[in-house]
Amino acid sequence: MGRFLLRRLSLLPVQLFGLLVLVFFLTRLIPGDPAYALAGGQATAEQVERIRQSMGLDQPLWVQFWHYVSGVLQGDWGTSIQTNSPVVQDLVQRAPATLLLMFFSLLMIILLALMLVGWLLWRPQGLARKVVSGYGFLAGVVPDFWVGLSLVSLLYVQLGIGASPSGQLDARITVPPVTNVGLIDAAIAGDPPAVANAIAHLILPCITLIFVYLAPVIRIMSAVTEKVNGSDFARFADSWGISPWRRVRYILRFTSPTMVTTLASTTVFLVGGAVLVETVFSWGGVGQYAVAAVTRSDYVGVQGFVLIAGLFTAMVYLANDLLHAAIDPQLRKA
Amino acid sequence: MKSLIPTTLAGKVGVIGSFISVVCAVIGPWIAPYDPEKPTVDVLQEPSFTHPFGTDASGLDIFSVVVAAFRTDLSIALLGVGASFVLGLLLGSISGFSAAGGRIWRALARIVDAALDVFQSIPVTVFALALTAIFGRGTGAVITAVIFVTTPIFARLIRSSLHSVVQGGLVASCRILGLGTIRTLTRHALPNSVDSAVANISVSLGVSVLLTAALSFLGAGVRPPTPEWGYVISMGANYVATGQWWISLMPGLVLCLSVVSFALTGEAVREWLAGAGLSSAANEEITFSTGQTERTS
Repeated sequence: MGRFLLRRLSLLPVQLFGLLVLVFFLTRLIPGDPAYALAGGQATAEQVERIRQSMGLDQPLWVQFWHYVSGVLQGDWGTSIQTNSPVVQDLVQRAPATLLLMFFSLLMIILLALMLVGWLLWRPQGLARKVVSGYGFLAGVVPDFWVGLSLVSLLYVQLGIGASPSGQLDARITVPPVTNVGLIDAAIAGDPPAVANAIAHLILPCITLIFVYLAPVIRIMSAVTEKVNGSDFARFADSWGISPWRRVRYILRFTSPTMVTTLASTTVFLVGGAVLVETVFSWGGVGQYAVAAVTRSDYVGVQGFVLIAGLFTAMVYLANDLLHAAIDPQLRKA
Repeated sequence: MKSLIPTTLAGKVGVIGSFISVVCAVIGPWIAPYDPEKPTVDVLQEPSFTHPFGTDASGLDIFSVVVAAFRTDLSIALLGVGASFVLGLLLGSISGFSAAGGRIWRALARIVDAALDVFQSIPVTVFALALTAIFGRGTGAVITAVIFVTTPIFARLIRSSLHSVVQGGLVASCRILGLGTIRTLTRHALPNSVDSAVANISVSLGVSVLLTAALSFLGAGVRPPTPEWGYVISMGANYVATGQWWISLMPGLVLCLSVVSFALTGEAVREWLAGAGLSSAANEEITFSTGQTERTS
């Protein structure tokens, strides 16, 4: 166990270094003079010169890289062109809204996946199988932004479920911004109608993410459980005449490492999904910030978003491997 | 030779759908009833006989735009995935066949492995978005993004099947026959390892179409007025909440159908390869026979 942990943790600095190299070169790949691009359209000659000096563009590449890395480590991720404020501050302000969206969706994905897989184990043939294989087929073939728009059209416009795709709260409702998350701010302000409104706004984006990103989970999990169902240990358990409930539990326990990995990669996919879904629903999180940064050529903002998304991914995969060590006795011995 | 016609219904549907997509890509702009870049006098019309998918706020006939967009989306997909396949074959060979190569080969393989790991650690959409930000929006940037996103998948598939071929003793037998490393790789190891990558081509075409549409939807993809599905969807997005659903939803439906067709075709190709004895079954046979050679020698 100790050796496994040590080896896994020693991998982290290498990954982070690779990420920093990649993010650093993103701006160095800009065609033409990066200083002009980073200063934005309306910059004066002095501003461009200042950026050139602060980036050290006249110095060797490794010196520039060193400056960039030491800046990032000290919390200086540059100044965004679109908001004119530090990128770190922009990201910290918007991240909670994105995390709320991802957290709720992931929670529902886990619950629904367990239910569907449990159902499939309980009744391997019949309706469960048809539902699971039909739905699993949707994995990776439907665009999330189109699903979001279809849900707005079907549920909001036709059936009146949820709220208009315009942010986390109706424009007429104002609550003091503490966390910049509509739901939590409304709860802090102790305003029940505002909380209800925030929940209504959360429904459609969450259903979009759940519908699109549950499909690959179901596809992988049903393939794995089907394999386990026909395995020797499942047949042995059957021959002992154990209760079906216990059988489902044993098999779920056996497939839990795969389940954990699938959920880890789903979490990473959700970051990409959040970018599109936030744009559809004007959610105001980091994803929408990144899209605005791209369309307004705010390279510093883009750089900051790629860095934070990469850090998040590295953490998710680290957590995944640690969880594996916790649930898989074979790994613990190695 | 096994028949090229898929045996399952899903496979047939997939191949027919893919065929229609390709036909639309070739002759689409000519069969479109209206000019996909010139507005008509009908503004914001519901789907009808004159405008099957309706019209948008400027009067563009959505059906014509959707039909013409096949060419844009599919040519990006074909160029991007074609380049990715070749690149993936190269990178996968370097990485997967390193055990048979010399010291420089092994050093290169380590760099390739590290690069593949780093690329995997960033969400696909995020990375593609960053690339289009750097290169500026346009077809070239989208193709670059497609290449960056789909190459690692091909490289990984080639790498893992090469690994099993190398472990199976094929390299040892080729050595005994006096073949060089490159010849062993190109003539014997790769032909036995490309099946999963070939089946992945069609899936990657779907991935590419989805990515192209997503980038254009975000305003970071193909430049208007080039007809493109994601761009039309983004144009209609503001009208969905007020009830004009057709501008966004019809192009998305066509996009989904064509991606589904590609996915089904990929499945059919995989089955065909397995049935034609070009797949893992064949690999096992080779492994077995070379294992024998190793032992007798």
